[in-house]
Amino acid sequence: MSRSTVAMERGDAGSADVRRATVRRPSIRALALPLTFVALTVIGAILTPGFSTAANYRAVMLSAATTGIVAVSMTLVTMSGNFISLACSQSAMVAALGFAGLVGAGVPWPIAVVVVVIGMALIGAFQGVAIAMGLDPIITTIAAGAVMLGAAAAVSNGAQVTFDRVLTPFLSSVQPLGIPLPIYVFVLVSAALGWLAHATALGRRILLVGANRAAAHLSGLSAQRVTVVVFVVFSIGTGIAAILAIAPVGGGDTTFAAPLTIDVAAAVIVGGTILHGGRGSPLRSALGAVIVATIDNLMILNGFSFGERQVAKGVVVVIVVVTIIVLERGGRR
Amino acid sequence: MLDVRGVSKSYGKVGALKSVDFAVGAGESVALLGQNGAGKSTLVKILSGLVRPDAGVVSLDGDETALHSGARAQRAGIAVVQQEVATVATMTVAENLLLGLRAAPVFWTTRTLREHAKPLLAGVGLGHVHPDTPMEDLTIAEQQLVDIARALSEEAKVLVLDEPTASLSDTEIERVLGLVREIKASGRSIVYVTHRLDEVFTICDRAVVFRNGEVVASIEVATASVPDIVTAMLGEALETYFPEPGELGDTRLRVVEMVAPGLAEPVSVALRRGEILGLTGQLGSGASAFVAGLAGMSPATSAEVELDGRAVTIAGRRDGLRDGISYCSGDRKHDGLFPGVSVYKNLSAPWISRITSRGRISRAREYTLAADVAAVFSIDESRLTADADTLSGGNQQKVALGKWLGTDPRVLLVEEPTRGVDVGARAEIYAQLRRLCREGLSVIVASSDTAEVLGLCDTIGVFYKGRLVETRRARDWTESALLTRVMHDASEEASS
Repeated sequence: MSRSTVAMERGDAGSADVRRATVRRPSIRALALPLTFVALTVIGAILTPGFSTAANYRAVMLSAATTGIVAVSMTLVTMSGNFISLACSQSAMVAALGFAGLVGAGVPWPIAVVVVVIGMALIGAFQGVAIAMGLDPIITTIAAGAVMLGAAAAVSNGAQVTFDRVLTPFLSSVQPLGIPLPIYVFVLVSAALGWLAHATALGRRILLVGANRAAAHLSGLSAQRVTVVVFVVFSIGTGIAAILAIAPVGGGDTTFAAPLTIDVAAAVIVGGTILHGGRGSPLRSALGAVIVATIDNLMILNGFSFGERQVAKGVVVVIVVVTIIVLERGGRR
Repeated sequence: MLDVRGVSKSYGKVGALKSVDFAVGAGESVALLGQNGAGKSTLVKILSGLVRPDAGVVSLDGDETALHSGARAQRAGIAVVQQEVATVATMTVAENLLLGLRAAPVFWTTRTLREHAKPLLAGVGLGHVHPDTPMEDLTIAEQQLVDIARALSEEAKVLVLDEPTASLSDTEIERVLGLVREIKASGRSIVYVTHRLDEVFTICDRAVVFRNGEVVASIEVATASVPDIVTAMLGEALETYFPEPGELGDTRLRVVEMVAPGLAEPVSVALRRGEILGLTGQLGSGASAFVAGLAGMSPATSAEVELDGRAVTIAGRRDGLRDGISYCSGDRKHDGLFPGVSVYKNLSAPWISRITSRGRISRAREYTLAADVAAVFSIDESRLTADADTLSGGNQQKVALGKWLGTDPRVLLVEEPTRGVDVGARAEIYAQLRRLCREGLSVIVASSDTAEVLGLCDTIGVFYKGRLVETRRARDWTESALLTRVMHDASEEASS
C-alpha cells in the first residue's frame, strides 16, 4: 500500500478538505452555550442595577476563575470516561492549607508553590493508578476525599492555618492592568488545556478512550496511561486554583472550598461535556464556569441567600441536562 | 391478511419510505429484502407501533388499524421479534416469557409462571430448558427462540421477524428456520427481514425488495434465482459477487502450536503473502478464539509466531500492532467503533502516532489519509465529519475495517467481516480485501458464514469444538463438504 503517493497525488485538495472538516456549521448544541451567556448578560444588565459595571464584571470573572481552573482540568477526566472527581473540595482544601502551612512556616512562596504542585501531582497519580487498576472512579475519589479531609483535620487539629499575606506579595495583590492574577491564570489554563484536548495526540487519546474503551484498547491506546495522566492534570489544576484562592485571604480551615465540587460539576455539565465520556471541551467548561458565576452574581445582587443560590445552581444543572437530552433526541428523530 | 397501502415516512428531508404498498396472505411467508437504509427497518418499526407513518394505511383482515403504540400493534395481532435479542439476562426464562405481554396476569407465583412457560418452550423446541433457568445461561440462539416463543404466545396473526439469525451459527439457524416453517404451516403469516438469501429460498414464498424507500420488486421465490434477487436489490447486475483470487507469495506468517483460551488443543497455521485464509466453524468452535489469541487479546496465549521469517512475541495488543498485525473483531459496537466521534477520527485511531509530530496532531495529514481510506472502501467523503454511529451498518463496518489500512498492516485478522452488512457493502468489502491482498497483505478471516468463506478465501480451515480439524485449498472444498465438516466431526465418530 503506497499511502504516501496517494496523498501526494491529491495535492492541494487536502487543504480544502481540511477546511470542510474543521469549519462545520455550528449546531444548536454548540450555539446554545454562548447564546445563554449573552442572554444572561443582557437580562442582567437591564434588570439588575450595579451588574453592568467594570468592577462587577471583574468580580464575576474572579469568582469564575477558581471554579473555572478546576472545571477546565476536570473536563479531561470527564472526557476520558472517568466521570468526575468527587474530591474537588478536599483536594483544593489540602492544597490550600498545605500552601498556607508552608508559607506560614517560613518557606519562600515560590518553593511552596512548587512543593504543593508536586504533592498534588502525586495525589492525582495515586488516584489515577488506583482507577487504572480497575477501581471505580466515583468510589475512589470519594475515598480519596475522605482521606484528605481526615488527614487535614488531624494535622491542623481543625484550627485555622494562617500566614502573613506580606510573604506572598505577587500572589496576593498583584493586578496587572487592573485585572487580578487568577483571571490571567484561568485564561491561560483554559487555552492550554483547550489546545491539549483538541490539537494534541494526548487529547485525542483521552477522547477515544472515553468514547469506547474496548475499541481504544484494540487500537493500541492505553486507557490506564490516559487515566493516570488526566488525574495528575486535574490534581495539579486544582492545586493551582487553591493557591490562587487562599493567597489573598491569608488562611483557612478544613471547610475551605467546601462548595467547590458542586460548582465544578455544574460548570462542566453546563459546558455540555458528556458525563460518560467521549465528548467534551475544556473551553466550554470554562464558559460554563463563567455562566454559573454570572448566575450566582446576579442572585447576590438581587439579595438571595447562599442557600437559595445553591438551590438555583442545582436547578440550572437539571435544566441543562434535560435540555441536552431533549435536543439530542430531537436531532435524531 | 396484512395489507399495507401507501405508507410513507420521512425523517426531516430524508424520505425513509415512499408510498409503500405490500400485502401478505394467510399462511404466507414474505421476505423483506434490501440494502441497509432501503426502508426495511422503518417498515418493521411501523408494524410494531414504534414509529407512526406520515401517510398510508395498515389493515389486518380488512380492518384499518392505527398502530399508535406497541400495545396497539399487539392487540391488532402483530407480533414482532426485534433484531437484537430483547430479553432480560438476569431474569428467568419463565419471567421473560411474560415481559411486555398484554395478557400478563397482575399476580403470579413461580408455579403459574412455570406452567405458562412450559408449553411455550416446548412449542419452540426448547422443551429441555427448565423455566427457572436464568436467561443469561442460554445460548444466543436459545434466547432468540425464547423471544420468538413470547411473540407466539400473543396469538398473533402476523409474526414479524427482523433478522432473527444475524448472530447465529449455521446449525442454530436451522432450528430457527424449522420453527418458522411450523408457524407458517399453522396458517399464520410471516414477514421475514434478512440479509441471508439462502434463508429466503428455504422458508419464504415471496420476496419483496426495497430500494431507497420504495418497493421495487415482488418476486415469487419458487421461480427466482439468487442473481434475480441480488439484481433487484442493487438495481444493477452484480458481475461477480466474490472477487477473483490472486497470486500467492512467500510465507508471511507461521504460527506453531498456539494455546489460547477457547482452544482445546494447540493450533498451527501458515499464511502466505497475498493469501486469504478462512477459518470457519460454529459459534464457539475456536475460530474466533484463535484469531483473538493471535491478535494478542488473551494474554495467556503461548505460541511460536514467525512473521516474514522473524520470530515475534505477541503478549498484548500493542505488540501485535507494532509487528503489523491488525485485528478487527466481530462486534463493532463493542470494540470496533467510537460512537459520538467523527468518522475521520475513528479512522485515524490506530495510527495517531503517524500523524503526530512533537505531540501535535496534523489535522491536514490526518484528514487526507482518512479520505484515502474512505475512498478505498467507498465511504462517502462528505460523511467523514459525521459521527460514526450515525452511519448505516454497512458503512460502520467499512469504518471499523478501514481504520486498519492506515497502519499498513502485514497481516489483517478479521472476525465476521460482513455481519449485519447489506449485499452491496458486502461485495465492496470482499473486493477491497482481495485488492489489498494483491498488494501484498495477508488476511485471516474467521467467519461462521460458510458461503462467505468458500467464495472469498484461498485456503479454508475448519474448527470444531476448539480444534482445527481440517485445512484445504478453497477449490478442494465443496459447499456440502464444508458444511458437513462444520456441523460434525468424522474422526470423532470413528474414535468412539
